[in-house]
Amino acid sequence: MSRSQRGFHRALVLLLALAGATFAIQAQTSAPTLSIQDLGRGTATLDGPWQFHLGDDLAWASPDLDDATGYNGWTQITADMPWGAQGYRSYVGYAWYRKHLDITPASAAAPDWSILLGEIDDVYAIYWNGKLIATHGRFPPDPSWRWLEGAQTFHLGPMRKGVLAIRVYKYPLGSYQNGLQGGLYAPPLLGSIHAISREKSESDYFWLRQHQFAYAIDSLEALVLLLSFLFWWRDRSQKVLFWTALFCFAQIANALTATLHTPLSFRFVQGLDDPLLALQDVSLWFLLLWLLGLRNNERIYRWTRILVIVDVLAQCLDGATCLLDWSRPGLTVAAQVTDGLLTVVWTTVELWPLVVVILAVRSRLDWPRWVVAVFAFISELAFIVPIMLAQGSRFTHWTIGQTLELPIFTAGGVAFTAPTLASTGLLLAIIYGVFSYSREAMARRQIIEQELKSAQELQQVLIPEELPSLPGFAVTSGYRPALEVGGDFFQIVPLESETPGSALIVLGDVSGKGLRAAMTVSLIVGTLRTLAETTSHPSEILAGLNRRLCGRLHGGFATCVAVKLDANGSCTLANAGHPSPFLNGEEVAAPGELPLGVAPGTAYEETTVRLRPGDHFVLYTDGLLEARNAAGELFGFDRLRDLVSARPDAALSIDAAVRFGQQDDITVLTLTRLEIGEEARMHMLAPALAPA
Amino acid sequence: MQTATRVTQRTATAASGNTVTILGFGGDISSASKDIVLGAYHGLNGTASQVLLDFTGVDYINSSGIAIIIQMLLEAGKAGTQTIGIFGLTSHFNKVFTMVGINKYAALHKDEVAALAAM
Repeated sequence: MSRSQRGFHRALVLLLALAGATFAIQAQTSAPTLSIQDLGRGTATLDGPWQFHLGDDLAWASPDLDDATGYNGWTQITADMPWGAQGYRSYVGYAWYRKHLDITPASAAAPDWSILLGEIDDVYAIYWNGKLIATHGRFPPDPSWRWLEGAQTFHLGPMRKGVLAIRVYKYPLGSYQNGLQGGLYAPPLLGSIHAISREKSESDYFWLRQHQFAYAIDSLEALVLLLSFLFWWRDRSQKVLFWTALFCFAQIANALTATLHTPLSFRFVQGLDDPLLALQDVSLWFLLLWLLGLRNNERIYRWTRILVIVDVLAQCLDGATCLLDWSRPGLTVAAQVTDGLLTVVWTTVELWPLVVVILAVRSRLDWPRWVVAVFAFISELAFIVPIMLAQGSRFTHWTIGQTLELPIFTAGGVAFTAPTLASTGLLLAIIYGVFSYSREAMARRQIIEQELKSAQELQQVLIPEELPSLPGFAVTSGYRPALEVGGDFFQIVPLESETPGSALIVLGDVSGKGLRAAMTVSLIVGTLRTLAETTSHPSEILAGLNRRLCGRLHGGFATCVAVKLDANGSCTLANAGHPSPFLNGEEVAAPGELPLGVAPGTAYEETTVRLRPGDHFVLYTDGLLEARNAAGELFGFDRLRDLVSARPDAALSIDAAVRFGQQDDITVLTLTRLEIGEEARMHMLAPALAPA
Repeated sequence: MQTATRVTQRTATAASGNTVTILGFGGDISSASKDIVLGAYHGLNGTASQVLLDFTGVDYINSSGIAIIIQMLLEAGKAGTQTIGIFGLTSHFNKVFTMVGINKYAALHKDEVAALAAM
């Protein structure tokens, strides 16, 4: 090689070395310094590039650290959007932001600054020139931070030149998060204490203004909750009001925890949100069954109950999973998989209202029910579809779920989304539907009350309004039905063809209560009156009644005692499964026999006793015997014996049983044989047809 | 205040050496008990020739409940192949069962020992 050739080679090597050095210098750009001039009453936005580093090292707070871009892993991002949207998708864990500042205060302005930070995912600490200023939330282990916080302000103190560093921790992602989260969402503001305080007030006001519509709806729900609960409390049969109250309660509870600035932690609110959502589901589903007229469809009702159990279990377990510390090594993946699987279960089950609505509209619906059906369908779709599409979106990168939740329009500072509009429509539709339902129920109730009134009038015909005179006897009677219409009956039929003063007394009880029992009573009384025209023998009367009642009582029966009473005190009785009468505090020994209407061909035996002057004879129905107190004790034969031994009249006997605890209709008839020459007395506690 | 009706089924050996099916009732027996009481009896499918009804756990029987018991006994009577006995009644309901003539269709025993001895 010649001298000139060697010189060329040296020049080439030197040139390459120079080029390499230049490239290296270009790859390690020094961190820029944001120069803020004349900072006084206003604020400065700390925008532009921030030095950024994934991971965690407390030494990164130091102002002396070389954080040149490209050196030791330092890079640059901006603070106006989270790191997930700036190339670090789905990154969770620690990261550091650093900003070099050079602040020149305005003349006469004190260099005493505060900083305002908007939303930051999730826990963070602020450093100025290596000194910790403030920590917001608790870093791992067991990280904790508040749910849905507004902007936060921190006092930095006097500062001019140095490095502002923010240490951030991002919690592991939930199944619905698309990975575009993490870190700062908006550049911090720096300014005087007053200026930052003013910005904070404006931020809070803006936040309140955004939520004013939601609060108005919450207030409406609270009103509906109160009214529906009170009306349901007054009439527990109005289940639709109960479900309405529960639905509103779940909505309000959810709003109180999830949309207000509260000191509750993020994990606690997430854990509570799922069970509250389950409560909302349960109440809405049953409300729809009632409002859409499907509550009597056994198959749909059974499926609803099954899916309610699945939904509640899945959401409660999902909520419990959220309470765990997902940041613990080894738990993150297990918790995320569990969360994902449980969410798939409950979001699938939440499609059930759509099925209910489709089944409902196949039948004829009136206008209010149509409104409920349509809004329930739209609301459920608007609610569940974005949630379903958001599941696993950090893998699918689908954005349609987020797109569906974007505001459709803004009015008065409030952004209206499809789910907001749909849920508001559903609430109003439910209010309208419940109002219509209650009005219809009231109308139906008035018809039933009118029918009951007619039945009561019928019963007044069947139970004597006044007792016929029984010479030689003082008679008292009382009747107290357990319901509006009872199943007890008694008749006193004067026997014209027998000795003057003779009478047939028949007292009985139809099994069951209410209108059906009353109708059976009417059949018995009509038959009895007909039979009494042809025979006065108690056994024949009972046999005749039994023949006519067999096969007509649909598995029920009527107990009955028939007594033929003569003016001379002779008393012949036959018993069809009825409690034996008491004579002077002792039961009359009458053979037991099957009640009426059970077995055709049943024969009844007669027993005769003689009533002497002063004797006290008591006929009663088992409502007296089987009164039950709060402890479940029966009034029973012993108490009854003690009661009648004191020779009370019918009213006193009934009062004793009612005080003890009336369960069934009570009828009591007492007869006291008078001394010769004493005038017959009849006293009737007129059928008090109001229930006890 | 009403409690739900409960029914259990078991077998025991009578003094005669025969196997006896025992239907044990509990709670209240009323019109709402019809399906469970008659269902338990029908569940025997007539295969048990000797049946005991155990009312030891019963708190209350109203008139509709008595109608159900009578219905069951009448069905057994029609079949003519079953012997039915009753035990475990309180003195109150023992008296009520006698009053309505149930004792003519099924023997009333004080307790299980007495009932098995009589079967």
